[in-house]
Amino acid sequence: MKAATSGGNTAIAVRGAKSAAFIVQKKIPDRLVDPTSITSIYRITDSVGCLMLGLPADVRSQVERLRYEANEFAFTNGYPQPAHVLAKRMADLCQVHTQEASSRAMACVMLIIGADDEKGAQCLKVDPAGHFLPYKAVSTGKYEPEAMNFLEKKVTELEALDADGTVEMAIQAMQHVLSSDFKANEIEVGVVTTDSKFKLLTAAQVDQRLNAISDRSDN
Amino acid sequence: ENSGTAVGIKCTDGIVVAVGKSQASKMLVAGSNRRVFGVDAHTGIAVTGYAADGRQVVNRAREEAQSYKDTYGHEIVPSVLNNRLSLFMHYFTMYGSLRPFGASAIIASYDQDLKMPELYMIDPSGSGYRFHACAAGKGSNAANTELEKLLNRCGDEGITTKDAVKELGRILHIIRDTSKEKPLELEMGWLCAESGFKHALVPKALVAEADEAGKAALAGATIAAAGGGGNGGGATTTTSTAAAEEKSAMEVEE
Repeated sequence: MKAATSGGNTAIAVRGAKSAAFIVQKKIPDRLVDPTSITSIYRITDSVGCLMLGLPADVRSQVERLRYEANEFAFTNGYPQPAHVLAKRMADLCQVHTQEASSRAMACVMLIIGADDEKGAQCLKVDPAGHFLPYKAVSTGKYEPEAMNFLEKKVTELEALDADGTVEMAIQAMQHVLSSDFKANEIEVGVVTTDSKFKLLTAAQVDQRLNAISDRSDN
Repeated sequence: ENSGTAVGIKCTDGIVVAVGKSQASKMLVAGSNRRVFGVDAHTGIAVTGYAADGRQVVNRAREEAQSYKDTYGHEIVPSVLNNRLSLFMHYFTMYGSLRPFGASAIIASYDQDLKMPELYMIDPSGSGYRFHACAAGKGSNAANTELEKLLNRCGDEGITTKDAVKELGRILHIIRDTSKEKPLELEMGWLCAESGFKHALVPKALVAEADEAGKAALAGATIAAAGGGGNGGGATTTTSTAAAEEKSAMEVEE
């Protein structure tokens, strides 16, 4: 479990009634790496996205498995797999690794967000032990306690938030725990709503949200 | 970590990878003990670490490339090959009955849709990222430092493949401790614009030149160190226009 969160990054996910968003720091380990190949956010299906922290190889392997499971479900059952069903499936797979003697647990924590017409927006966290829970807002990584503190104070406001609101709440939580402002290219933000597909926000879109937050706080 | 150093650098007109092999014995024929392999027409892989493990990784890469071609009718895309090979190497870290590959792979490839060369490195844990320049193996720390300095020197203009061949040769020489180690044998592969970004071994003449440049740089460095000053190891090299024209001498790996 420690290996999963030892990367030094923090991730925060927030859910409103119809939209869910997550945010993570984007740290480039050294100058030689191509920054476009570094990401923690992965699109699983049009309605489900995943943010993973942990060992890069385990993360990649889990993403492949998530995509496989989601597509298999859609093929067998004829409709997109809801986020909570996918999370439960991945949690079960993680648990198997903890019980089989010959295999090791996957050192990665997943924040899964999704939106569908049955349950609205969902946000779940799956950890290496196979433990998973749905959340209104959750964080993981280096500054997990501080972020959770911040989010607990805001939890009553979350239901009313729209898509932009959930993104801004996630950004504000990140600003609070990092105690500093950051530029759009130092973070990655993913959003999904019941009306639109999962997408990674571009730097320009993140800037719009950052400006909206600072305009509000100036007022 | 006991084997040679492998380095790769993405250039403005392609990619160059190089492996510095220690000559285990004078009886070995030069050019044996291959470390740079062709995987597909536009893809090559340099391995470092256990040579036997490295060969297995390359075999798998070749199988993946072949099956991709059969299924999709298109040469394997570099990011996909990186993904497949990373997952493959990661698999061996998962189960108690298997051991991880004792090798790192540097993938040099050309993406025909993006029309860009791409350089990936996968370590034994299976994590593979895209790089501007990378190093693996024994002297990877020193090599990474040198590569960063090189990238800083080139700035936004970048470096051409021909210059990169010389620079990589120089880097592989100067990071070695010549008193303790056996003589160096260079093996280099490249993808360059002139050859349509097909992977090939760098022509022997150019490799020899890089070798000489490297040795001269090393000699320059030791003199400078001894003299307490000087030009810091830069070496002048003869221009390689004649050698560069010998494109027909390139060996293409099947």
